[in-house]
Amino acid sequence: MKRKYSTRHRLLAVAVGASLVVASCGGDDGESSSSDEPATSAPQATDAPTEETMAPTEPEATEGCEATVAGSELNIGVYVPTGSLDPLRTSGALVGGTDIAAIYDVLMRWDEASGEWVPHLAESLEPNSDYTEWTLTLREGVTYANGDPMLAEHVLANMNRLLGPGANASRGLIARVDLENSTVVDDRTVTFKLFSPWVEFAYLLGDAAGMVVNPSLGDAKDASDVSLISTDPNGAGAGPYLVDKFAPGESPYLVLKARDDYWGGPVCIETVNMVYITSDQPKLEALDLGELDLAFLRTANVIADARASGQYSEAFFLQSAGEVILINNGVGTHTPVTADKRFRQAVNLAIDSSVISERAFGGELLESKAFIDERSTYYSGVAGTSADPDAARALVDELKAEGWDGSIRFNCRDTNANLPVAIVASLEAVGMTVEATVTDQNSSIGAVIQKDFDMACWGWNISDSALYRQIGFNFRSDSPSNRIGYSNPDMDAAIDEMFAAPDREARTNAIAKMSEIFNEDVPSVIYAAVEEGYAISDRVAGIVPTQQTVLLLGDAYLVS
Amino acid sequence: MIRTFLHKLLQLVPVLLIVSFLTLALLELVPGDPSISILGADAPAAEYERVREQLGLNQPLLERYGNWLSDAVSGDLGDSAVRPGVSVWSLIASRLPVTLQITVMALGLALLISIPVGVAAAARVGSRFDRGVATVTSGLISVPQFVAGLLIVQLFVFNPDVPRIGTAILLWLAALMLLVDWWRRLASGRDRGAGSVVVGCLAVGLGLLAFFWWPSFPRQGFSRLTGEDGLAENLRTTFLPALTVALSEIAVFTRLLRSDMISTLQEDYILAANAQGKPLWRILFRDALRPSSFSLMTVAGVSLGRLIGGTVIVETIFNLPGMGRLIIQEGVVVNDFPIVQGGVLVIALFYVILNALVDISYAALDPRIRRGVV
Repeated sequence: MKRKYSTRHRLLAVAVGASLVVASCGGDDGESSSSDEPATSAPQATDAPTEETMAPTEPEATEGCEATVAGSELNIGVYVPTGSLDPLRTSGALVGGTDIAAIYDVLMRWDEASGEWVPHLAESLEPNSDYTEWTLTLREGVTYANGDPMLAEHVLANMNRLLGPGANASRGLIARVDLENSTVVDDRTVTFKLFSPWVEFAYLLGDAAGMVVNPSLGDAKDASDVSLISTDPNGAGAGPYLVDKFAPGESPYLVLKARDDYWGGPVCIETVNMVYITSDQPKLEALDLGELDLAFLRTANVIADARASGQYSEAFFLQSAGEVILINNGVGTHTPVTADKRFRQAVNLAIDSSVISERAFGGELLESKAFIDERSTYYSGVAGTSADPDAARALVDELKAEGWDGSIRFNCRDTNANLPVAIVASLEAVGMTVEATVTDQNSSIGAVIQKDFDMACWGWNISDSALYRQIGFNFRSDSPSNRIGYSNPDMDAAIDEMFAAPDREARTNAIAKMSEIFNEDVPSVIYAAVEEGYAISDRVAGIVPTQQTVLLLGDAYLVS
Repeated sequence: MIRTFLHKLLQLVPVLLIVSFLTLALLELVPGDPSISILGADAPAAEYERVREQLGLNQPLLERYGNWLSDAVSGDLGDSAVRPGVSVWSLIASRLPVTLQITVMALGLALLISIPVGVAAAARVGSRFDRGVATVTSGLISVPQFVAGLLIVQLFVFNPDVPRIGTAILLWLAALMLLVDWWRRLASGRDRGAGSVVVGCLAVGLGLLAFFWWPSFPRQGFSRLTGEDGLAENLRTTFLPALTVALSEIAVFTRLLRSDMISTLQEDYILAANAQGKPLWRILFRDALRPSSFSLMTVAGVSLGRLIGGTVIVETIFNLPGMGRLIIQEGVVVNDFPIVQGGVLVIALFYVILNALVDISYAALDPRIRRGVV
């Protein structure tokens, strides 16, 4: 048989195979190759993060627009896609914060450059002399997308709505507002009464409570008792965009179209596509290829790569206490020793930030053991406790002498396999026996919520804009979100002092007190701050960052 | 045949019952709580309990299964637990076509490549070409899908000139060799047929197409067939995922067909056909291919079912909204039980129906089976 076949046949299969590959390529969009993508420029890269690079920097604005530019598109790669478009259901800035803000807008905006809250949908927000009463005046002429005017009473109604079943974490802060005695002065003015002084009350109006829902639509529910605006919020928000498509799991999962009657003037970019790409590296690759215009990044080495490329402007935000070992201070099911301050001090002394960084994060971690990171504008000068394995071992020996067998449970998320290994090694080096459980992130969080843990990987993510929220939530003894059972009247007093601090100096003093108490009590162990936020293509300008990692897109435009 | 098909379908019922119950039972063992996915990490403790109660998660396993089953038999797979108000059917209806397209494209690509290559390798068993095919297919089988996907991304997305120029050169070389071979045959008076010239010219044309109009493939994303960008954009966004899935299938199919074909080519009727002077292509593709394709059919059918539920890696790499991501990322990871239950049921249904169709196709391929001789 073999002799009968010629070179022709030898090559036929190869040719057919190769032809089929080419023939199967399908359509041709006319572009020669991805290497023809427009090059980006405007490098703003730095080798190491500093306070300056933490601050959001906007691409140099060269032009705006007179009207919505037909065909213009903005593609945003998000951290996690939101499953609901109702502010009631979102679980923070990371999950749907920018999406929701584009639909509902916010009353107040955090200005990172000045470190102050500034009015956005609001015209003004004025306190009384002791910060227990705030008067909000809405801008004139603000309407929802269905044409209904936004009224002052809607702001109060929105806060009441957020106290209802299924609401997100904002309720903890809304509870500081005496809603019963807060009053609507006129259509544009509302006066909030607070139970205690709160200097940065504006924060509340920059988060979900400041994303006002048109009450005529917000109360409508479907057969499953879910608000209709969860999936179809058109008409319910006063933001620059309407929802054209919302299909979680699709790519893009959310398509927004510009409103033509936005209070802030013409919305330049016609279409905004929200895209979810599972991890940071492919997100950066998509940004490199021009498939994304903004990419949310949270992985230290990918952020370093983005910076090193010199191609992108950035809106990265520092989060103090972004990497934490949560310790059970005596709540729910736990090994008794965790309630002993000496145990927590021993863990703190055993953990060396630089070791964790090298072993688990390729040396890219923002090492810090300070309660409020040294790079934060709120840094009080009180540093964290340095690692001292000998002192840690001494404390462990002391506890063992009192009857503890040295064993302890530790659970950690599986997103970084090296992290639990590095932490366990550090703890076992000082004489502990660690029973580690590595699970998916949801399960790791679940163990903490169910209060069945000794130690767990966690992050408090105390950004400058959400400082009050995060500290109040996590460390006040009466907070429903105090997962660890930490309780210290001195800490409560210091937190109240911070809420009431009338100026930066008073606030810094309060933070210094909290930091010192934290270093002594060690409610949990901090070993790093993190950065998170967006790398932004230089073809985009006018994006305005606000609290945490939420971006406002109303003034965004594409640079020609 | 219809009765056989219906009989096979009836056999599916216990399979589906077992699969759906085991799915729920296994989900019970998965740690986690959908209420956390719904409320995030900062909600008050009572809220988590309220949501669990609302979702019926505090009911006993059998009661939950019974409730789910009674709804499922009436065609109601329920709503997503994490995204209340979103029906599982609507999610499946949106994702299944994506996975089906990738799977069918991959299988089609694999068959289109593996059949001629497998036949050619069998026809020249022991030759350099055959050894080359064996080496390449061994390599392809050894490469895990996620590695293949990332390599394809590097090659086709970030270094598109490599496959563009490589494909063009390959096609031109093939054309050149075909034409040289044709010229030699013509000169020796053995062959005046123009087939080689036609194929050679086609290869030259395809090479030019590849060189000048090589499409730019996206790193991620998916454009639906029904979307406003149409078929061209759909194929542009699905080619690389389909190629990634196809690679290992090409290797398996080629090796399988080659070995079956080698046996068939030893049959007396093939030798007789050869002695009659029938053209080689006719012997290979008309006389030998059909009886050699039973194993290929079986494996291709099983692969089709397997791939419908097994494309999660390629869906993740290329950010495709398919069934794999629906079940794993939007189901298992966030403990959205209804999505997992519904998704697995649909995939199981496809799997068993496809296997039934493969069984039935034997009868179509072999008249002896049809007549009950074997």
